[in-house]
Amino acid sequence: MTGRPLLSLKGVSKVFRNGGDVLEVLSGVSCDIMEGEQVCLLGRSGCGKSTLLRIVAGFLLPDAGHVEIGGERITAPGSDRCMVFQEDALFPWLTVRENVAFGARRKMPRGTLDSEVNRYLEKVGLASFGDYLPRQISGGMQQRVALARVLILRPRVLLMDEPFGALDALTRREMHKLFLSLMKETNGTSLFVTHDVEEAVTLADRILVMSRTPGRIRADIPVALCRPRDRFDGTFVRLCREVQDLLASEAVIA
Amino acid sequence: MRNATARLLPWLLPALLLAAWVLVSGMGWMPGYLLPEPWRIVRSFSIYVFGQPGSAPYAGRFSGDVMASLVRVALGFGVAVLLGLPLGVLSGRNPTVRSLLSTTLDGARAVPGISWLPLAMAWFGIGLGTTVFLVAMAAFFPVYLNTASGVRGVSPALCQAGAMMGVGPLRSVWTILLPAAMPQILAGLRLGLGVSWAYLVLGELTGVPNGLGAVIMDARMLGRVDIIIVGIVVIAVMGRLSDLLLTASMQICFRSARRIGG
Repeated sequence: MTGRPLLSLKGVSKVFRNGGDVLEVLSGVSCDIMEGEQVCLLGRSGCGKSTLLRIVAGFLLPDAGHVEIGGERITAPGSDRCMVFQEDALFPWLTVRENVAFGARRKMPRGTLDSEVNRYLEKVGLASFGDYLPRQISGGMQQRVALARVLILRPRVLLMDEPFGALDALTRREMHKLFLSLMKETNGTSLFVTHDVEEAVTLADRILVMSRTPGRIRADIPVALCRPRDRFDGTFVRLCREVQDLLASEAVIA
Repeated sequence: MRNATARLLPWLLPALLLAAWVLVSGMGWMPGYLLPEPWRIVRSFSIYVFGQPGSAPYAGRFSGDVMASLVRVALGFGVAVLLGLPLGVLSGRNPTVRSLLSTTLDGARAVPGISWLPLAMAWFGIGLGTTVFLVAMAAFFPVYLNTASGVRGVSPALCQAGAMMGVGPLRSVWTILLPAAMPQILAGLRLGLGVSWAYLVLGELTGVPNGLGAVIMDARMLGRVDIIIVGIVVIAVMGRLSDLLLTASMQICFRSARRIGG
């Protein structure tokens, strides 16, 4: 993980205006993310972490600063940065298979499309659910579809917006395993937004702890634990407590 | 047994009403020229449909009246959809368009449809133009309003997901907005088609020579209550059939209409 960063945030600031009210959401956020790195943005709700993710996705433009991917400035959404949303972002009128093929069919010929869709459905363990509609499958399965439909586009970075927050604890841990194995397999890079300390310590190579009003990166914590990580392991628990304390002290300031 | 009961239940009330009708007209509690017996309605209907034209008043006029009315409804409803759907998408998507249109459309909507009749007659004369105008005027609002609110309610995440997967803003209207808003769009179309039939009759009451509304009005002047009732039943059946046809064709053409919503 040396050399040029894949993703580079340079002094990103964002202000929301609501009539006369001005809310400074992000203030001069800078950081670099290397290829193959899993980075978690950890913060309390309202700290601007989702806004930051939307700026990287190109859904929002920053008021100051900019984001670069591979040295190129981001100005619009693109399939090199794909987002997995919190929930309910699948197209409800399309089957699982059609959802996975939605973006891909613009990028590959018909013949390869079918086999690619099957391949990615298999990767996320939904090979036999291709003909179901989103509302007919569980929340965990829906998020697997959301993963498959972006992984098939081979994005350079995955943007995860609390994608497992609405799932029960058991399903969430399964999804963590699946996510990590997929990222390892593809040597993928991710920027993962969460407010769950344990989730961050489980997934991340680096945790960026954010403070709020305005949102800033308050700490950059490397997680050197070997994988697979055991959440009952002493070092794991200690690190969780450390990060937790950091978040708690933030509450007093805010 | 339960199943059979459930299936018969919706027909219980019509059967009772029919029985009451037979009783009231058969016992002579109401004179025949105000409420003819049911069998006389059936006979008038068959003369209206199958009779040799000219052999009796109203004989064989059915197909001509139905065709004339269908054309008027189709034209008026068609204009309403051609205007209401695109304007609905625009105003559902774009706050500037919404506020640009709001005063005008809310004002026009507050005017009862029937009060457009004199103006329409002055502008278009008696006949096709007036009827089509009235139908289009009435059907536009349900189509427009439902499309606008449906499109407005589409989750931004769906559009963002489309954008990141390479669907531009123009294409996303067809591939994302319309399918996602389909349940409400379909509801708007069905409401619009429903009022189309109501305003068809209003337009045809003004003295056009043919059409289902014209038959009803003509029969009133000749004191033929049986034909009035025949006309009403035919309009009810046409309304229901066109609604079924609309829903079925939407479901055939759009998988979103098949797969989400009612």
